[in-house]
Amino acid sequence: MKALPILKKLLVSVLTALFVSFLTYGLLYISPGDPAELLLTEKMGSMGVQKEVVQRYAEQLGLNKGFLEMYRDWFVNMLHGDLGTSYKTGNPVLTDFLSRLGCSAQLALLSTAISLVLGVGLGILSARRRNGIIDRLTRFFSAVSLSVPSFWLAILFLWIFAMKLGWFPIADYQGIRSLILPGVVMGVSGCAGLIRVTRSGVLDNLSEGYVVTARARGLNDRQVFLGHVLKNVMLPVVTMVTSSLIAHIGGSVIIENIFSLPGVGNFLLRALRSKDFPAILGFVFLMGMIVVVLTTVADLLYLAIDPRVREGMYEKK
Amino acid sequence: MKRNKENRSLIVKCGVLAFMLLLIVFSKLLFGRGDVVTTAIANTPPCWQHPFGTDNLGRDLLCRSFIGLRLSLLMAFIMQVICLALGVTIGTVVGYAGGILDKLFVFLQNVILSFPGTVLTLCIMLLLGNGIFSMIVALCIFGWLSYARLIRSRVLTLRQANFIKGEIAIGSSLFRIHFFHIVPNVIRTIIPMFTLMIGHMVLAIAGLSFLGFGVQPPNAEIGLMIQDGMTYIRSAPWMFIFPGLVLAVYSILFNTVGDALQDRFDPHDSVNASKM
Repeated sequence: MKALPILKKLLVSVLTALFVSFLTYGLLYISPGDPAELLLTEKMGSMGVQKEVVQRYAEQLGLNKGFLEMYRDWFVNMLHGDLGTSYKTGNPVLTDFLSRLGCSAQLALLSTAISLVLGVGLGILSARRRNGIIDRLTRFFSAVSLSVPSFWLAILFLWIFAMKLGWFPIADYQGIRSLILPGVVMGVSGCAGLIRVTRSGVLDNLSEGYVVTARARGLNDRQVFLGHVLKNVMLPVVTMVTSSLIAHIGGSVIIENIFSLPGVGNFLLRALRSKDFPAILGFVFLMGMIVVVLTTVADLLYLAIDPRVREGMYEKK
Repeated sequence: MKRNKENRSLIVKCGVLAFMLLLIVFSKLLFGRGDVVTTAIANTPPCWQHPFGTDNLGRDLLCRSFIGLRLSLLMAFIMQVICLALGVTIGTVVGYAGGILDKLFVFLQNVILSFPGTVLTLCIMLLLGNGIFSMIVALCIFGWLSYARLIRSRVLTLRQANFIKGEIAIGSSLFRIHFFHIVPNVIRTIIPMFTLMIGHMVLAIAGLSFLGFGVQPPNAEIGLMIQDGMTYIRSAPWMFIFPGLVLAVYSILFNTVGDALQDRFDPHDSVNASKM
């Protein structure tokens, strides 16, 4: 009985995933430009390409069938773990994706960690010294971090710290050393929401009845804050962190491009520019899947840490 | 007393924004003469005549920044009007109708939110081709959702409110309830959101143009200018610094005014709406 809502959630997630794949496929199917012709032109240079050759090439790539048939083929192959072969690199899309996932995942985790530390830390500080100098500075900082275009900040940091000061590598990828600058940029521009949620969460909770009760029981400030308030503030923070992870998977397209990182976003951008259909489709689908999985995990996590959500779910039924 | 002080600071903020917007609106008149190719003064560092310096073709960067921002702001405004109209309509219908329509909306929302935003926008740009029109469409497909979500949740909670129940009890029509009671309540949430979203949209437009998918070269646009600046990052760093700075200043203005409006109109909700 208790597993039912969770099962239902999972089912909705699977449905979402299916719909995501269908939508992506549909979008690419109706997009203009014949990939077979594009590819041939690229391979042969700018010499005219004959229609017959293009047609034969399209047949070879399986591009001349109807939409549903093509989608079915793709879907069946996908279930077998085969997402097709990239036109551009000639590798299986899954291999391409996995080889670039490491860099992007590290970047997303690093930047989310920076956001989390900055956001929660500054949020708590500014709530505890409400309207003080730290609070004002923090609010200004969050307004700025929300407003400054992250790609501009990225170039600025690249210029100052990598080119002028030479602390970080510019173009060649050197593992974690190359990820620090982009991580800081994304972390800083992503922390504004967390600051706000933490700050107002702390302020709201401090005026709740349970704080008065805890004080009446003789707990000191520290105990009340760490043992009671912080727990309640963390709930919206969990949601924010997931959505920040989601945002960073997509937001990293521009940042990865600027720092020329070998990540998922940068590869996808190149695929989009060259109309590398299997690669675009596979990458968007896999990114969507990661998002669906992350959201589901966050929902379940929410169920686990907040009894109110759990009970609310059963009450409705 | 405190209210008075807050009101004054809100008026000051709005005044600054209005002044800066006027600068943008009349930018063609004020700065139009600087946007011409004069190779003789190419790559001039910032000086009195050209406070932001000139680019690789000798065009004044101060002039181009403002003219470029005019285009972005105009587009952002058009997009937000479209998103607002779509979002309010869909959000209201779904909120009232409930049932299967509501379930469908929640599902659709989950699907759209499952794509990382930039990626979805880029895919749609691929479908429609590069350029201004397709950028408007691509960003709107994502943008209406935040309004619709807000309106839907508002309608859902307002429907339970006692004053609405009272209206139903005295036999008011749906039309009357909606336009005389729901809409005025929702508007105070929408105005700040609209301001905030314009700021976001301007950034999104610049980002897409930076990647080469949005506004195309002969036009002045901040993202494009920053992209150009990246090529000359060593020899002429002012080419990327100043346009970005102008964009940041305007974006900060929109955000602070939006926040201030939110605090004024809707103190309880300032957290929820800022999530999107």
